[in-house]
Parts: sequence; C-alpha cells; structure tokens
Amino acid sequence: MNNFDVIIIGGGHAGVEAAYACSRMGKKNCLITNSKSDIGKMSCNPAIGGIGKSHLVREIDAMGGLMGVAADHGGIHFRVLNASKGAAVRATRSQSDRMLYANKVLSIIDSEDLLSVIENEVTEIKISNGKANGVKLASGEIIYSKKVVLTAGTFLNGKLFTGEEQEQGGRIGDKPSLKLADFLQSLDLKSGRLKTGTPPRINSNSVNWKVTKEQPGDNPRPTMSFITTNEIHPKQMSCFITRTNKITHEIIMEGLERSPMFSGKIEGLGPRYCPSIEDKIHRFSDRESHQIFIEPEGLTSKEIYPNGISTSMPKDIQQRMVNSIIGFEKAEITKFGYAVEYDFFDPRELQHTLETKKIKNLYFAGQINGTTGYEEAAAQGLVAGINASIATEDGSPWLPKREESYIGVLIDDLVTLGTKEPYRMFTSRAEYRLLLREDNADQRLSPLAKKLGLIDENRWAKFNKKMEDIQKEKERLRNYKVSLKQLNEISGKQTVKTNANITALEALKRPEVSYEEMCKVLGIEPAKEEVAIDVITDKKYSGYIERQKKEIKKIKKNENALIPEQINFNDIEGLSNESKQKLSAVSPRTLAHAQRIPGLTPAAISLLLVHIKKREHQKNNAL
Amino acid sequence: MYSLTDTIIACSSPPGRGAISIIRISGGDLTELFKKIGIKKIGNKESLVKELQLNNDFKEKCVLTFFKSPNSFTGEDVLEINCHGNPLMVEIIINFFLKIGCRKAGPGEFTMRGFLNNKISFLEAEAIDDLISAESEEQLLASAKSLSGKFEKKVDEAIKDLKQLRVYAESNIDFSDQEILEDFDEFRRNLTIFIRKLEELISKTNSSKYLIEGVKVVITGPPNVGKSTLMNILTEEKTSIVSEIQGTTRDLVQKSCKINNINFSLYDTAGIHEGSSDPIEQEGIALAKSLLDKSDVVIEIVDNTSDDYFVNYKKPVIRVKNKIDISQDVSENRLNVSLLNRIGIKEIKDALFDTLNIPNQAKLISFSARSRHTELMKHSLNELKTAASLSSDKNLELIAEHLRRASNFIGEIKSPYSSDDLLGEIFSSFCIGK
Repeated sequence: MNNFDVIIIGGGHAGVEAAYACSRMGKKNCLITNSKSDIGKMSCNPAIGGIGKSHLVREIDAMGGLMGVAADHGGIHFRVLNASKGAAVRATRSQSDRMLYANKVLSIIDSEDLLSVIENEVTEIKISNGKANGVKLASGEIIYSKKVVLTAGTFLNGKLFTGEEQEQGGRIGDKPSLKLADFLQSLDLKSGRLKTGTPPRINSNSVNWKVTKEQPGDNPRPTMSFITTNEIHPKQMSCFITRTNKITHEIIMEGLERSPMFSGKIEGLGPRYCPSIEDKIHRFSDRESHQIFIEPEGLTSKEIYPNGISTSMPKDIQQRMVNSIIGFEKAEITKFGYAVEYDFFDPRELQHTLETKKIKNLYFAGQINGTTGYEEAAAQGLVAGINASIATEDGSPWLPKREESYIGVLIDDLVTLGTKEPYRMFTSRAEYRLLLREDNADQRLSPLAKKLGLIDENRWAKFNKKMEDIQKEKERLRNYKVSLKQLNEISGKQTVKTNANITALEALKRPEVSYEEMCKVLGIEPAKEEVAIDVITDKKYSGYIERQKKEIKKIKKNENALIPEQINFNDIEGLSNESKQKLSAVSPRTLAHAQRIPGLTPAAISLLLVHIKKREHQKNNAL
Repeated sequence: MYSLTDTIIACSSPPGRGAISIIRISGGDLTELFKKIGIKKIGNKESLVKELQLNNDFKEKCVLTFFKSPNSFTGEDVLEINCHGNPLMVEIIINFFLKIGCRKAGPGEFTMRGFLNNKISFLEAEAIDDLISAESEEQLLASAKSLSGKFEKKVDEAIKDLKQLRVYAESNIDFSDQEILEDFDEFRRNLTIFIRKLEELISKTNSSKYLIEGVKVVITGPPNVGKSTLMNILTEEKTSIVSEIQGTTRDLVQKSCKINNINFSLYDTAGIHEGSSDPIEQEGIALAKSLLDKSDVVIEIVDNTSDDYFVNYKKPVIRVKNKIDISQDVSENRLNVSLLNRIGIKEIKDALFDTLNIPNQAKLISFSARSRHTELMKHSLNELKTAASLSSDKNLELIAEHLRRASNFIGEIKSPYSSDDLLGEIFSSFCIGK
C-alpha cells in the first residue's frame, strides 16, 4: 500500500523537524504518532533555548527548521543569558506558552503538502535483507517507505515513578510503546536505561507572589529565529524566584528512603547537571538552600512550573516539601512530580548521518539516542530527516562537522563517545566555541541549507541582505578615522597608547572600545543590532578565530587520514582486547575520529597508525 | 615498515671491547628459537650457561637469561645473551641468530615495543634514552629520577591544576544562570599561583635541559675586543688565532668545555658589525646570526674603545667590558674584566649559571627534561599569561580559550600525537638495542 520516501515514527521535537526537513527537500513523507494532538508537545519545562541549546536552535533555524519560529510564536518571556560576556557564549532563552508553541508546530506540519500525519501505533519496523523498508501498525497494516526515521523519545519501555508508585508510560497520561520496544530489542542493538524527572506543577492562584522575587524578561526582546521580529511575540510574562530552606531539606531527607532513586527501583542514570531535588540535597548536604525558578506555563494556563525541584518522592512528601517553600505555603499541587525511566540505544551504533550501522535505511534521532532536551532532539531530527532524504537519491550525505556547528559537535560526540547519562549540549563541548556563535549560525549554515533546498527564497534573500549590510557597515567604519583623543574618550581612560588615526573598524579590535560609545563619539548612527554584533565580534575575535582556523587545518590532516573501511580492528598486532573492543564499537573512519574515542591510549593510536601505514605499504608493493 | 611482533635482535651493550657484551632478543614465539639452540626448558627470569655452535669453526659459552612476557622491558618474551666482550664475537652471534629467524632491530625498536605494549609511558621512553646517553653522573641521576616518574608526576600535577582552572571558567560560562560558588577574584588568584608554579617547573626543566643537552653560548662583540681570548681561557686551550688584526676570526670556531659538570659549547664568532665589504667576512657574520638563533645565551664583549656598542639579541645576554687593565673607565652595566690579567673569569662563569637559572651544583637538578618539554611548557605559560592579562570576567570566553590552548600544550608533553611524524622522529633518535 502507501509508498513514502520517508516514514517518521514519533511526533515530538525530533520527529517534527525530521518530517518538516523531508517535506522541504521534496520528499513524500508521513509522520506516525499515537496522538496528533500531542505533536510538538513540551513534556518537561516550557522553555526553548539556554546556554548551548540556543546555539542549536539558531542552527536548526538557519537550516530552515521550525523550532525557532515556533518558539517566537509561543514565547512569553525572553532573556539573553551571559549578556555581559562575549558574543560566543551569549545565549537566548525563551519561556513558551505550551499551547501556542504546539499550535504553531502543528500548523506548520499541517501546511506541508508532502507530509501526512497518521494517528496510529507502530509495532514493528519492516526489515528485509538487513534493510528497513517500512513499518507495521497496531492495526496490522503495513506502510512501505525507502527510509524510516525512529524518534520514539522516552516511550520505549517507559516507566513512571512517584514514590512507591510505579506505572508504565512515556509521559504522564500517555501509554508507552511496549510492542515497538520489544521488537527493537529483537534487533540486537546495544541498549541501556536512562532516567529523567520533572517537578510537581502548582496552581498559580495558590502562590503568594508577593514574597517571591520577580525576574522580568529582557527589553529589548531578542528573537529565537533569524526570520522573525519580536513584533510577533505574544503578551509577555515574568518569571519569579524563590528558594528551598532547611525545613524543605529536612522533609526530603526524611522521605529519602521512599524515593525510587534511592530504593534502587530506578536503574537508569539521570543527568548530573539537572539533578532531582533529593539528589541535590543528598549530594550537596552543606548547601542550606537551592534556587527555584517559577516559570509560567502559558498565558491562559493556571499552572506554574517550579524549575529546580524535579522529584520522584512520594506524593505526601512532595506536598509537604512544596508547602515548606517561601511563597508556596498554601500551594496546591496540580500534577505530582515523577521520574521517567526509558530505553535508549547506544548511539555509537550510528553513523554520523544517524543511520544505524546494522540496519540500512533506518535512522535514529532524539532522546532514544541518549540525549535530553528539545533542542538536542530537534537537531538530530533535522540531521536524520535531511540525510534520509538525501539517501533516497543516493546523494552525498550531510556530515555536520565540529568546527561548523553545535549540531556537528552533538552528532560527533554521540556517535564517538556514546553516553552514560542523558546528553545535554554545553558550550564547553565545542572546542571551536568562538567560531560557533548564535549570531553567525546563518553564515555558517544557510549557504549549505540553500544548496540542499532547505530554505525558501524569502529566507535566502533576507540572509543575503544581512550579509550585504555587514559589508557596508565594515566599509563605512573603514572610512572613519579615530584620533587618540577620541579613543580615550570612547574608552573613558587616558591610558590608550596608539598611533593616532586608526580606522573605526580597527579601533573595534581593542577590548576597551565599545561600538555604541564609538558611534556616539564619532557622531554616527549605529547599525542595526544584528549587523553591528557581527561586525564587532568579527573584529574582537579576529586574532582568536585565525588561530582556531589554523588549528582546524592541522586537525583536518588527521581528519583526512582515512581508516580503510575494510579494516578489522581485531587484526591489529599488539593491540589490547580492551582497545580492540573500543575501536570496534565505534568503527572510526578517520584517525582524528579514533583519537577522540575515550580511553584509547596513545600507544593504541600508534598501533592503529602503524597498522594503517603497513596496509598501505603492502598495497603499494603489490601494485 | 617492520612487523611489530616478530623476533628482533641487537647488541645492547656499548660497541667496543669489554669484559662482556649483552645481546637482547625480543618478540615472537621464543620456544621455536629455544628448540633450535637446544634449550629444552627455561623458566621466567631463569639463567643458564649454554655453549652455542655458532658456525663450523666457532663455539661460544654464553649466559642466557629468559624474561617471559609480559614480565620484560618490552612486554614480550625476551632472551638476554651475555658473551665475551668482543665486537667480532657479537657480530658472529647476531649473524647466527639472524639465520635462525631473528631480525636486526631498528633504531629505538625495543623501546618502541615497550611503549606500544604499555610497559612504559612516552615520557619514560624518552627518559630511557636519556639514561643511556648520559655522560655524567648528574645526567644519569636526573634521568633516573625522570624514569622513576618524577617529571611525569609534575606534569600530571600541572594538568590537574590547569583542569581546575578550566573548570572555573567553563562552569561560569555554561552555568552562569545558576549559583556558582567561586568568584572571579579567587580564580585570578589561583591562575597567578599556577603561573608561578609553572614558571618554577620551567626553570627546573630548563636547567635539566642544559644538563642533558648542554648550553650553547655565542661569544660576540666588536672586532678585536678579546672574544677569542675569552674562549681560550674558558676552554683552557689555544684554539682561536689571537692577534691584533681586526676580523681575525673569519670562520666560526667552536669548542666545548665543562663547568660544574655542565657541557658548554662556545661559539667564537666574528663580531656582528655591519659594513664590512669583505665577502668572506660577510659570510662569517651571516653564520654568526644564524647561530645566535640557536644559542641559549650570548656573551657580548666590548673594550674601552667600543663602550657604546650595544646589540639587542632577544636572548639572555651577559655583557662584558674587557681591558680594564688599559683603561680604568668601568662600565656600570657590564662585567668589567681583564682577560689579559685573568681578572673577572669566575664572575663570567657565575653569570652563565645565574643568567640561565641553573643551580650551580648540578646534583640539585631534579629530573631530565628535553627541549620539547620546555618548549611546550613555555607555550602553555604564554597562553596563561595572556589569560591573566584579560582582567575582566566579561572576557571569560577568551580566558577560557587561552586555558584550553594552555592545556593542549601541556597535554602534548604526555601524548605527542599532533603529528605522526613526530613519533617516528622521536623513536628514531633512540640508539639501538635498549
């Protein structure tokens, strides 16, 4: 029956990006979800972006994805984190109205002609001769396709825990995908268990706001997407801050042994950077208080999300704990917090395209690969969707690179290092952080997106206009001379030593020179923010970027040192069994890739190198 | 390219005659080899005396000691053969074993196998080379200390400290929206402390570098001020032509001497004075300039007629004024000496040690390090100093970038994998059969 180019299983953040990418690339695709009304749902906190994550959102947006646009349509609170630091680490974070966000996602999905949504449960992936070619539905119906992208999130063997209570599910109120999980187990893919958690939700009318600290959004408001303006943002709301206290901690300590985390019911490892409140108190017992961000769930929602007290404690403890917190004395819990434990697959069994190594035509994206976060999931959905589409025509794949994007860092980390805890993006994971900025995501990726047919004319024209404006601004600043006196005036110091009359563009290189001050002193209009930031950063970072580019070039040499595909790592003379296993698990294709495998000793890398050289040598001699 | 596991052989004792010579065999399955030479059974670390029939005319009684894998220096099966210390004998024995399945070891191959089998770390591999080529007791002591991991421990410590600094910078970037415990001022204090620590380590490794590699000294100055005389005094020989005619030293004269057990290579150069039209002398000047680049320290000599002579060498420099016997005019910024009357010689020698920061007793040097290590640590130090100069946490991402690079440089001391050529080069610089 139905023939599609690509089938996408799952309608979460990975699934929708994958399907939307396929559509933009002209591929007939269908997204299969248990419930259409859950498409684009935010299961955890209603926020998009944040440090490291916003970089991903910007990149997805530069590739024509939907996340940034939806976040702007749903955004009710915007802030730039690290605003006082340099451009490379500044990060936009937005709170979303859950409904508005999901509605926007659904409307984008619905408007794509090549994309059909099927409401059904997938029980099996059809595989013949080691190649996926479709899926089987709960109804028994089979749908065929050239490629299959699996984005099952936390639904595989999902188990929810609240205190001693335990039920099966992928998200509160939703059934897990057990049959599909059983089927996947039969594929002999390496899998493990991970855990994540969520805090109790509280009725906003029951909060005593007066005793909390208000944190309004930024003004002027940033946008998540390159192509929107902040005029499309809905009404804005504030966040609030309160704290846990000694009594809170005592209540938690008291109930600790009833927590499934500590009673040993949960085997999966949770994220270290996003611990449950019981974990925080247990591990950092010297801290007397922990911060809680009270985040709005939406404009019309009567619920708030207390970020910082994720928990799987029993309900009675949750209630007492919440009521011990300032502002929450009379708080009414609308949904109790819970932990969810789920299956994930070892991402080292994936290629950089996210196609599984074992089963051709089958792609894995999102939380099933061991990541956490909407942004990380969406980025993978994009990569899988694009590569599945390209592969339907045997084109050359998109292998995002570490020096090109956070998406590249994400994919390379996953397929090389695997993960033991839910993987979250941080800027410190990117060695070329100064190159990979929010502000230049479009410059790094849009030309590629254009080539792949992922972005429309409107976006492309906008991008080119911005590039033109940047050039013009640089040209303009080159024509202004700044005298020594002016330099001192700009920096507010009398200590600047320089040759008089450098150009305004060169002056920006100096750390003490701010663009805004310079424009004031020179009496010229500053350029638009998105243009100015690029001109400024380009100059301020120029020395660093040059050096990073050199470093990349140097590493490229090893990146180009290919490990022959037919190599059998077990044949390498002198290599320890442990190293053999590590190499076989990842099957690195380049020497640089092998060097990034953790735990491989320098000696092992040398042996690999010698082995490759010897092979080449023998081959050359044979010729 | 060689196999990495076949049986290799080489003489491990120095060439020449002696009481005994030691030949080592490593790798592969030695039981086959034992059969061929008529050994039925030999246990780990067991020695036996065996008469080997080397060829039709020749028998030799040898002591054979067996080290079973992995309990050997290479991690492989090793057989050690002690025979009479005669080069001819050694050659005959090696030829005998080459015929029955051994291969002559390449340069550094034993050490390389030890490294590849994880028996020794890269730093140890380097230290072994130093140990073997040590020429003085002090060198021997220093490389032994390195081999015992003293230097590696220091490097590990530095890596750890640097990691802590990076942890501060990175966490304040990635978790700035959360409550961070350490403040920026404390970070800067820790950075300063680490910089001082690294400087100390560098000066220690520097002096040990001089112990291992010697010190290159360029003696320069205007013509006819006594450069050759100084060299002759230091080396206690008459090497250079000493005359009153300007520009006498046309060719570079190099001579070595030992002061406090450190080797000094002295280069007596034509003065680097511009304007000579003599092509031969110009050539000498060019040579002198290239030597300057490679030198560790410069001694600049002037006399009473050239008091205003001053060249910026971009190297540590000892400025000397000679001929105070002729003119009493002393120069404040120079060591005032009379080479003719041997006045001030000790001061020059002391200045060499002070300027290079070498403890005047070589025994105080704590471990051996190579210029590769010192260079990497200096690069790292430069990055850290730049990081320290960025005085505001507004530049934290730039500070973090400098720390990242600093830690890459230090890390390279332990695993020099930035270039595979380096590895080959380092191993081939080892001598055969250790």
